[in-house]
Amino acid sequence: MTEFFALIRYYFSIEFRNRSQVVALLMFAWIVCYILYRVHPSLETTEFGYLFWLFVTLMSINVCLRSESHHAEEHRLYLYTLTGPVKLFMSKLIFNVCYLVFIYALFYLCFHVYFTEQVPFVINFMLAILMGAIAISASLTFVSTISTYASGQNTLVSVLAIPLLLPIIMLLKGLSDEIILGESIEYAKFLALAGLSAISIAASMFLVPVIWKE
Amino acid sequence: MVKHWWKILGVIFLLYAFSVGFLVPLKPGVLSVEPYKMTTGQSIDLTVKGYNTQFNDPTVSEVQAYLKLDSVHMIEANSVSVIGRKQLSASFNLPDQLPDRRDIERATLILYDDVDGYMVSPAAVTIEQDDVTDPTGSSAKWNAQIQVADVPWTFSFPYRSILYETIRNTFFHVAVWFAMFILLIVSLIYSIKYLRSRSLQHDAVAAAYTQVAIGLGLIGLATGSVWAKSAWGAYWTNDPKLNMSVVSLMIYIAYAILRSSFTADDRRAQVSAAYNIFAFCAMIPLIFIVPRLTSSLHPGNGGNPAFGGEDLDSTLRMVFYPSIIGLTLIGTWIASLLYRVRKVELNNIERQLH
Repeated sequence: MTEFFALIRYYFSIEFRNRSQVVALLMFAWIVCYILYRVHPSLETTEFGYLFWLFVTLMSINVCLRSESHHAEEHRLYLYTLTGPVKLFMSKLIFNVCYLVFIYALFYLCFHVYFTEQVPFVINFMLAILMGAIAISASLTFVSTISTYASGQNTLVSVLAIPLLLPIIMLLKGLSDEIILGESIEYAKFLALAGLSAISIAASMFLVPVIWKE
Repeated sequence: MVKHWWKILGVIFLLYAFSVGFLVPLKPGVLSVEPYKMTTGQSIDLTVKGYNTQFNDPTVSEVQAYLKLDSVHMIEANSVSVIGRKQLSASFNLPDQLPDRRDIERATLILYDDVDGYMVSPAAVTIEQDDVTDPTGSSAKWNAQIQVADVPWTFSFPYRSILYETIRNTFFHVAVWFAMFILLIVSLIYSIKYLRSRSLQHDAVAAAYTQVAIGLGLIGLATGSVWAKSAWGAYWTNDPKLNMSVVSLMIYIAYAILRSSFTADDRRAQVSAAYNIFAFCAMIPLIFIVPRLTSSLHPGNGGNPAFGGEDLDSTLRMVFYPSIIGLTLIGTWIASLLYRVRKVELNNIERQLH
């Protein structure tokens, strides 16, 4: 367990050691909101759902890829032998979830600042953000783990992950619309999201030990 | 020859599905009714156009026509005059009032003759009434009864309005998706086998089955598009079932791209087997759960049963199931050819190494 927390702390330390990366990501979130505000000030609440989750997907691919490519091939093997593949995968997953929740929340606040009326601040939206971060990083962490073994990593991750993420984004869009508009939340969507994340995490925990061996 | 019995069986089943599926006629039905709007108290001649009907057949003694409001209330036509093989005129004397206080009511037209049997056209006409005061007196006038006769069984497919002749697409569109799913399950099993045995041959089998399944999926999309154009009016609609099928197809195309991005055989086999298992686990909830959460035009979703009631009757089943088996066997045959090509390549590599 100590290895586990040490790994998560380790991931955070390398991510924040290189501050330009974090700043670049926040800058991206800010610029997206600003450009949207300039180009399309009459943004509708239902459009917000699509735009938010679309840009969130792009940022998530970036984040999850980076947490994978921090270390060189030899370094990864060293960590695998020290801790084991499942622990390494789970720590990476938890790091990704925490990091993504942070980025998503800032992105949402950014939207709220520019589109105060259309995008009201609803505390329940954090629930959608948390569910989204778990579901998105569950598939993305596995896919980026896979792609480290292949050539042409960046394009491959997009190709492999986007079909997996599409239904998650559609579910999240529906969920976040219901929350923002203050309608009653459909719990079937909630359960479907939780189930999708559970299945992907279970499948990855079974598959990661199998694929890391040369 | 004995070894290849399943290939012959596949070809026979597919030929059977194509020939019987296209040649067997539809059951007789009502194509159109003119005029479709009428008022109570009117005497009206309905011109009825039939489909595949034999109204003027010499063995037909009499054509009966009924207008039915609900399970109790019905009137019979005073006279029916046959105009041609596919056309007749039925004259009705509508009672002064409808049996209830509603302004407007839809009536079902039922035709019967000895050769064609029963033909039902649901909600064929609408009947309006101006006076909604007291329906009790007229209720007794809607008291006709149908003498239910035994209709001889004929080998013909059900006649459904909107679908008409496209009901035959059941044998191809639906069967192709079933076959695709069976092939994907085989591919999944061989991916698991590969991870246990690390034999490249198992990986080659999994890859071959996925390739064929992608092909079948594309055929399924194409046949579905054609069907949607005729039934819904557009080649593509924003429907959860359609979106999910495209997503799952994209996942498997991504699998093919993943395979091509490796140079080392064993690495490719390992990683793509893992992705295949992961994709299959992610695909099941997509196809079976997500479309059921929202309402959908496509049969088999929220409030829209697929194989319910009369939609898949015994005559359709007689072609539908053989079609699934035939397509699966042909798919297996193509996959086995692809696998054998790969096996020759693998053997060549091994020979060069030794």
